[in-house]
Amino acid sequence: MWTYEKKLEYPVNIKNPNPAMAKFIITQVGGPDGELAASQRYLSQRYSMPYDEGKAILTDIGTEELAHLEMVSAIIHQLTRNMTIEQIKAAGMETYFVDHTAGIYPQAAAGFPFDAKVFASKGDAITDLFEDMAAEQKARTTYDNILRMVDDPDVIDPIRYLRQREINHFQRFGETLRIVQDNLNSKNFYAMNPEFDF
Amino acid sequence: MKNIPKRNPVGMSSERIAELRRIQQLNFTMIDLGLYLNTHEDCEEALILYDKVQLMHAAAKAKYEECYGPLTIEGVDTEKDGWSWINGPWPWEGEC
Repeated sequence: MWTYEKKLEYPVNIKNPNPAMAKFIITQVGGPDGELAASQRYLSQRYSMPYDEGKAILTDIGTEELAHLEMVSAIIHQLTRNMTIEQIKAAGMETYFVDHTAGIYPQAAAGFPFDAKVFASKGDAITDLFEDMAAEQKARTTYDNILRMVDDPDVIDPIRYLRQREINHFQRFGETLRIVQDNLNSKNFYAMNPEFDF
Repeated sequence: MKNIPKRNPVGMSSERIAELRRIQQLNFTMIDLGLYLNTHEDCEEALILYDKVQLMHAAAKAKYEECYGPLTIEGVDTEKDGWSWINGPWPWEGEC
């Protein structure tokens, strides 16, 4: 089970509203490589993972992704707090505003709502860990793309932190994949699916 | 294959399950009382009960972690047990 801790994993303190930035950063809340998808990907996959190292990694990284969802949501909240109707119109944020005002709604940068189709839970340890490693790289690229477009140091700092976590998670999933493969037949990792055939 | 995982991990002892149930009950009491207090912050009776249950929960959790291993990452004792965090059984396996 989970217990809420009344703190962010890393601080978010943005002084100036900027709905134009919020419009694309929101993709890391509910977009295809966002933190909501990341958390549900790992937390869904862990139930059938047969190895304790993998159960721990999927649980702990899935949990950390929930903390990242909170951080990105805090970024969006602070970028859209105290914004004027003029700022909303100038940023082209009317389409979001009319449906959600300044509330947080999980959607991609292009406006489509969160969809579980953006992640997989295949019930095969090798398949899932490759998905997880790819997911971390896609999220890292997304943060790199965000960093190309933001100029507020208050936004850059937590985004850089989140980008670095993608790299750390990629490393840990790579190590988990090696542990899984060390438990399988080295001549044919695919002779059986350790999540089903054992 | 070096390490064929067991489909059904070794179950927990009845003493361990009893202590876990107690923690679950105390923690649930805190959760539900907490919800009540969010909308009744001046209720003296609930505040006193929360305080009492909070202490019982802390004691039960400390005892459980000492005997059986961590419930959270903060409960790991590396000197005594090494990295016990990864040890099963895991909560979703139906043995606990």
